[in-house]
Amino acid sequence: MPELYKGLIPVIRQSLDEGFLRGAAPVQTGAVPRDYDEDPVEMRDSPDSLQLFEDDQILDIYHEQEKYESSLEHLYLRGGKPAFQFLDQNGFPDCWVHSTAHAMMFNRLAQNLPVLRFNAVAGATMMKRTDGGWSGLSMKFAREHGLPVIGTGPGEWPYQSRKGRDTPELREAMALHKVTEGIYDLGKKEWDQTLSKKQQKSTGSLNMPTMIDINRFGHAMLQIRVVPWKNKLCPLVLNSWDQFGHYGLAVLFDIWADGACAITSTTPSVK
Amino acid sequence: MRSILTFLLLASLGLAADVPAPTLIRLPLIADKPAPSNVTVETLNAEEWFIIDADVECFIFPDDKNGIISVKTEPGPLRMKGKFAGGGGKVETRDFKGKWITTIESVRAGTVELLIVPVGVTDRSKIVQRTLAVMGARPPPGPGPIPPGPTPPPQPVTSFRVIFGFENSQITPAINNVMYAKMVEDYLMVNTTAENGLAGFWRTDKDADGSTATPMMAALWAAVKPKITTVPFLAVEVNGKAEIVPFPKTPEECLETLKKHRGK
Repeated sequence: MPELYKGLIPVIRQSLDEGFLRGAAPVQTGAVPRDYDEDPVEMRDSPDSLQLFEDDQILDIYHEQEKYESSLEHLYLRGGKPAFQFLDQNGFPDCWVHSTAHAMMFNRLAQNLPVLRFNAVAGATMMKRTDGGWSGLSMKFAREHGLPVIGTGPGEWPYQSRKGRDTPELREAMALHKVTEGIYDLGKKEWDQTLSKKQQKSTGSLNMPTMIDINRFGHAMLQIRVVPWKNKLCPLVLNSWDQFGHYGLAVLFDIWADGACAITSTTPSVK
Repeated sequence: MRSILTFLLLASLGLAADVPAPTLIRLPLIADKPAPSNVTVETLNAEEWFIIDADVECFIFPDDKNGIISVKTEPGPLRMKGKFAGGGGKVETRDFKGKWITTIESVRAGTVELLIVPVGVTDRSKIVQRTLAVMGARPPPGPGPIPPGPTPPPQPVTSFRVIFGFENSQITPAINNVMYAKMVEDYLMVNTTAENGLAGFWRTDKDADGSTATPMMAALWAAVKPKITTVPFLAVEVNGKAEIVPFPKTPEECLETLKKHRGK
């Protein structure tokens, strides 16, 4: 019997397959695990300006958000239906770009901008990385170039296809949709973007959509919130697999990211 | 001789008894009014004279070319018969004993600020000032309380837009609760002025480039951005007029603030 947060959202303890409430489906991942021999874990100081919270404070924040319905989970599921149709990467190992695309869509939702669905497969294709990558790399790309919108019109890229055209018109259109601010260490490599567990809990409590790369799954997803489940604080994530979870949502039971970065602002474009 | 010298000495010391200090400039005393202060509104009706009876030569401002009053100064003393300011419209004969008699008459309705400056004055308090309301003109309000006029009817709200502004690095859970609370969002979705199908509110970092936003929101942002002095802030636009108000502490307070500015 699956565990369901709020009676709707599956809780993952071992395998992402637990997120398919109607049976497992063939899926792709795409996050490149970190080679710890090449790049061992280092002790890092608590970085930057991100406000950090203790677990009891995070619980208080959670309950206040429940009272006011003010988290990204609530924004996404207002009225019981999702604010947008989430992206499906299926067939392409481009989860590491879908995490960023979803993060941008959530930031737009938070700003009260029109819904745009970004083309993550296009991003991977333009970066010429069609066999996997890291969320930090897609965030860097989105910061420098933006992401194109899904579609077949001028300046758009067809959904779930590598056969779009990288033209000046496309580049001009995607430049309207850039990441402008985020939690990202410009002094580190794209594959070396990390947030401590405490920082992941903070971004999850401050409505900062956080791209997370999880080595044990070889997969990247988007953390939108941190929620309590069976006395543990857990990431609430949006995946990029069709038919996964509750409108793409699942809870990872005490499973935290190996690589992570977050978005705090995007261009307020309306088309 | 000795008594005269004594008088003069005592007078110079201000100690002479029973000799009142002379009033060098004498102005009309309006009946039933208290003694004029140095700044008083006087009324000059048509066919009346406002007389300045002075023992010293004075500069009178405005001069004769102002168009509301005519000003004429001649040596006194003079006996004059006519209607005088404050005389109730009756024809009277009055004697003016001063060395310089200035006659002021009305030319057309208006208000003038009359300044009477003794020649060679070095003490500001010796300058006499009067406001003349000529031929029924309403003088400017004095320092006293102004009775309230009729309350203008409230203008209908034809546009209402809201911007929540913050600094990303200083965001807090409390700020997020105010901006994202369902009660606040529901209100904004219904009551803000939509543009291109989008409700008229925006939540943004203070450094955002608003040029790609909807035209009206971009214009509001351009108007608001230079006025930002603190974050977070709440900018409210009603009928084209934008102001920045203190950021509410709770969603309830935010709702109250929005309703107050919207009018409902």
